[in-house]
Amino acid sequence: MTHILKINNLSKHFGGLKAVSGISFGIEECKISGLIGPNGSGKTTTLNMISGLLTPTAGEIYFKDTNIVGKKMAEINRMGIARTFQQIRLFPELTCFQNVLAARHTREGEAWWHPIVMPKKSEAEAKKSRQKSLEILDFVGIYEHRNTQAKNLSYGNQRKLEIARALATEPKLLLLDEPVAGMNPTESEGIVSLLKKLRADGLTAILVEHTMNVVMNICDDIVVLDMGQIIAEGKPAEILANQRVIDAYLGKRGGKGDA
Amino acid sequence: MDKTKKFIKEYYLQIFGLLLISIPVLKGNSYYYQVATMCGIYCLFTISVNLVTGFTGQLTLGQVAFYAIGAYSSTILAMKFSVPVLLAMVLGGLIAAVFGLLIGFPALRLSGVYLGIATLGFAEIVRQVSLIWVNLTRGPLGIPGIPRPNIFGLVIDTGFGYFALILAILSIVYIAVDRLTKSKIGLVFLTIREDETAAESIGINIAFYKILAFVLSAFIAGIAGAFMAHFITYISPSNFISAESFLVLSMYVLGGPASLPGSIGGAIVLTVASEALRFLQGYRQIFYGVLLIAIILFKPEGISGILKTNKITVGLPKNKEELNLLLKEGKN
Repeated sequence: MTHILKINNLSKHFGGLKAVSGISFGIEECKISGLIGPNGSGKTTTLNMISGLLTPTAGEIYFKDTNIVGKKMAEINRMGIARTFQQIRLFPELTCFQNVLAARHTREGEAWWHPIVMPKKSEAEAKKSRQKSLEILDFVGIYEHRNTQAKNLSYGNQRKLEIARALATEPKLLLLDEPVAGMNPTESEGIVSLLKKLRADGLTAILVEHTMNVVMNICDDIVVLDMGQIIAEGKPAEILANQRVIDAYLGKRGGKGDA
Repeated sequence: MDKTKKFIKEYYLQIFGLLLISIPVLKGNSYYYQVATMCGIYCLFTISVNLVTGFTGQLTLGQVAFYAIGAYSSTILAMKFSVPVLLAMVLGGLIAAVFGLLIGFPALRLSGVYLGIATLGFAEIVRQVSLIWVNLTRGPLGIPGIPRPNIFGLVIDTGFGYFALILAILSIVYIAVDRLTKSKIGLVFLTIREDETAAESIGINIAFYKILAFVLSAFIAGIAGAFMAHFITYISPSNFISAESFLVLSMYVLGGPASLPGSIGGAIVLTVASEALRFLQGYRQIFYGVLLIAIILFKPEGISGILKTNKITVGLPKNKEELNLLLKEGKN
């Protein structure tokens, strides 16, 4: 098994707070890996470091054998890592179609002055992008909302649009930060089947999620974080049986399910 | 035939605008020509603000700085170095663009009102330099007798000549900016306005595009300033006070963000209104203030909202059939 992403001794400190301290793990290709843990365990921080939004205090992140630490978010995205956000970040005034089309832009080698001096050539290029954008909207299942402004979409569809926009950059690795948070069961079912479809198409994903049945349902591997450290790694069944995980994550309160 | 029809369909608003300007012009009175030419200058100026504030979301309160740099550069080049006036205007725009590049870098670190204040400060620095650097700018005395444009020996000195020239310049700039902003670049500008982090997450080099917006905007404002100098034939630091930035900002707000027809409309309405309301003297400022408040309260999209030419069309296909297919609501 090849690791598409390798994390080596990664740390992030915010002043005295050690959000993530010295974690190492690998992500296998064409699999969905879950990153779980109680609130404040450093999952989103880890995701932010991989996507380049935060610079690690120490450690390396190898994406396809290239160390991406210190690179800008846009650069990392162009290398093939796309992400969604815990707090949805769309372009609210733009339509769904425009949201996705904007993401296609970076995949075309067109200089900024082309549309001014050679509009015909530029238009031909744009046509391909528009076609591709519509295909992606269709794939994700929000084609009929293509002309709706992003701010007017339902919550579930906003999540889908965020995934669509990330997919439009043709990533090798997709980082999903709580994609089903706050969704009703039908909506979250839609996201789960979408992710399964993507995996079948050969996409690798890292999923940060709290909803246990979703994680256990679609993740191939799971990494459990607590207080910025890895406390367990393995298949969903192993994780469920791990006493440390139960203590730290599911809690000693005896709560089960959404912890 | 088909091509003409398509052209008319695409640019009907602009053609309408031209007709609107033509009415007073056809009356042939030199005063009307002068007002119409000022309209053209302010159209350029307002487009420059819209590009950076309306599309890219970077608040600029000091656009007059580039207007001043364009005006002084072009004047000095034409008078001290005998550069042909049209070339001097272009060079004036380019020099303003260089300053746009310089202001673009700090702009990467600032946003919102902080950037606004920084640009305001920059405009004030430019004005102070024009006051103090007497050897170059003659300071508060100003520079009189600025040469008029000369196209292959044909000196432009009539009202109609100036009007035709500004119309030509405005058309070129308008079409270029229209093509740019309706393309994916326009869409990229809008994504930066909407959410910078999200824009970066889809691989957009926001630093590059922000600076690009500043440079292009400064270039256009510089050209506007240069034209103004060779039109009025006299400039002094009092032409470039901050009130000028706010006037243009009012035109931009009246026109509506991210809409070029809106900017044209806003510039024309306020230029004509300030002439028509001359009898109110100082009280005109009250009119601007009330107008701005009314727009922000009741019609935040400005003229573009009334004309329905707002940014939702950016990035959409030009081809009508493809557009209809895309816009068709309902089934998959």
